Amino acid sequence: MIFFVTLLAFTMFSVSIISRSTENGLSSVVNRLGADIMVVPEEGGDSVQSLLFQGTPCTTYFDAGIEEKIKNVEGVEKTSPQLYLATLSASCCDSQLQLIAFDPKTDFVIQPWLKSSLHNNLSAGSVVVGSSVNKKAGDTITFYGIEFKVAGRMERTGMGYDSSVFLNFEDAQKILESPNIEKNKDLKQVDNIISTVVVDIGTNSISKVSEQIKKELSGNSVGVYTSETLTHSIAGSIANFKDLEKFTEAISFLSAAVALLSLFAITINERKKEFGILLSIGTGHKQIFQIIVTEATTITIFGAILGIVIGAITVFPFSIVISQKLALPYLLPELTEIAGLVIKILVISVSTGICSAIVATKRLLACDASELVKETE
Amino acid sequence: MLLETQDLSKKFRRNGHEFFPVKDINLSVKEGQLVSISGSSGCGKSTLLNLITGMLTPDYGAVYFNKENVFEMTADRHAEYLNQNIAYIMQGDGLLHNLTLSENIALIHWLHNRENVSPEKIIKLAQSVGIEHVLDSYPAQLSGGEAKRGAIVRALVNHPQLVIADEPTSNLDTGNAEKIVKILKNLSLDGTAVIVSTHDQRFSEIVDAEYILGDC
Repeated sequence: MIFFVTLLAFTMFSVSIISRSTENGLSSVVNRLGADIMVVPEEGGDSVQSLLFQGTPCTTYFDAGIEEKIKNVEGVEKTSPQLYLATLSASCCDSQLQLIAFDPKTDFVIQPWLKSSLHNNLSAGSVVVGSSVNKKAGDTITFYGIEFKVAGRMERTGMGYDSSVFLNFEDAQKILESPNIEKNKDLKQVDNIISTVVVDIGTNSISKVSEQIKKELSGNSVGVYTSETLTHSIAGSIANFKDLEKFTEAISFLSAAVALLSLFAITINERKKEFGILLSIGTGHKQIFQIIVTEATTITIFGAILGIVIGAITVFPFSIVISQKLALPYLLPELTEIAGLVIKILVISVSTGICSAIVATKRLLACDASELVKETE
Repeated sequence: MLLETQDLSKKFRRNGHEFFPVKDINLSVKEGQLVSISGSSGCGKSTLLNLITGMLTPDYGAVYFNKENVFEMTADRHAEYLNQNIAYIMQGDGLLHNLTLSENIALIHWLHNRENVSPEKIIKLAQSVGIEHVLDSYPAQLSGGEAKRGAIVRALVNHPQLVIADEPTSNLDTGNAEKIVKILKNLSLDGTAVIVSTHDQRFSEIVDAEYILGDC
């Protein structure tokens, strides 16, 4: 019986943590995108979404002059360019990562993330690494043969930024001028390129401004994405995960209730002899009730705690692997939320166990005591 | 009168037919009396004992213990009746196999008194039936005779007014059976009423009253 309660608690805890982490990760992306509109190369839209939400490295670019055109569109308040450059798993680079270059003077998307990990501005020759990059402040890291100093490490965001490296445009330009850049086959042009322009429109109408940008840039082969269109599919995923969590909880609860009822009935039935003897020596119905309910409570508390511990040992150390396998943003819940989940699982397991024990005891005590004693003959 | 039954009857259904193993039984037992109930197997001896304990509900009739109807007792009073007023020694040993013999003996006292029985009392009772050397053993480690005598010690620890024993000498060798017969006779001589269901002819020679169940 302990094994079953452990399995139940393990399933509920693991599924809840994974679905809530995915839900948190997805919500985090939606909440923290930072830009109202993103303008990207027409053929690079999917790559940019994969980069932002799953951290899949990409190299995509268009002419930097496009930013000037966007700036002049009515309703646009701020713009800032970014350059996405995938590094290579070759001798020139430490590992395959995503480089994101930004302009510290105009950026309003990346720098808010760097505030906690970087006390001063990002100086030349320095980079900030995402939380999944295996480097710490003070380390060096090499891309396309150029060595950089790691100035800080970003906190976990649950999005593609976690596996990215941030640097300023001047350093990105040095990389583009490096002879090793030829190894990046996706890059056909190195002069005056950017990958995206992030746009802040203040309180203006996002649909009107986005239409204006599309009109202004017609014939330039660009894609104009609002934060809503970028996160539309993600919002659907969030709803799906919420449904999955509810469904799993309902199924776990129902199967636990049915299984515990059956298990308690079987266990009590196997112990008829013992309870028959106890009744024959004058044990009261209340005492029999107390014995069974105390046993049920002890078993379910122990089983539930064991299941939660095994779940924690399985899920927490492997969150990066799980995130990669799911190919979705993944952000573990806060400690208070985990504590709430633990209490919920304990309450569900124990109350289900106690209810099952009560039902089994009532059935036992409905028999004549002599019927139970017969088991001894 | 310590115990009386009044038209006590119980029917069962077997192979689609109803039959009465116990029908219109009227018996009475005084303090210090040794009463035997005999009859062939399946004639309702155990059923009658179960009815007297109140652990089986009759179809009609009544059992009076000190003029109190056993079947009108509350659940708590019935538990007290089983623990304090009578003691039931069932077929087999009826001991809890996860407790030692001394724990089995102590448990029956603790259930209603909520206090531990003194080890000296347990040893004294065990010595009276010659099982003091196996008090720390588990029932599975005891011989049939030792287990049966252990069950008798457990029955006596609360000083019941009536001891009911279901086939107390069955499956025992002659030596052990004679010990049990002697213990139960001495118990009745000391003032405790005893009802035994038995086939054992040794009881016929010493009982104060014998009821024979027939026609089965």
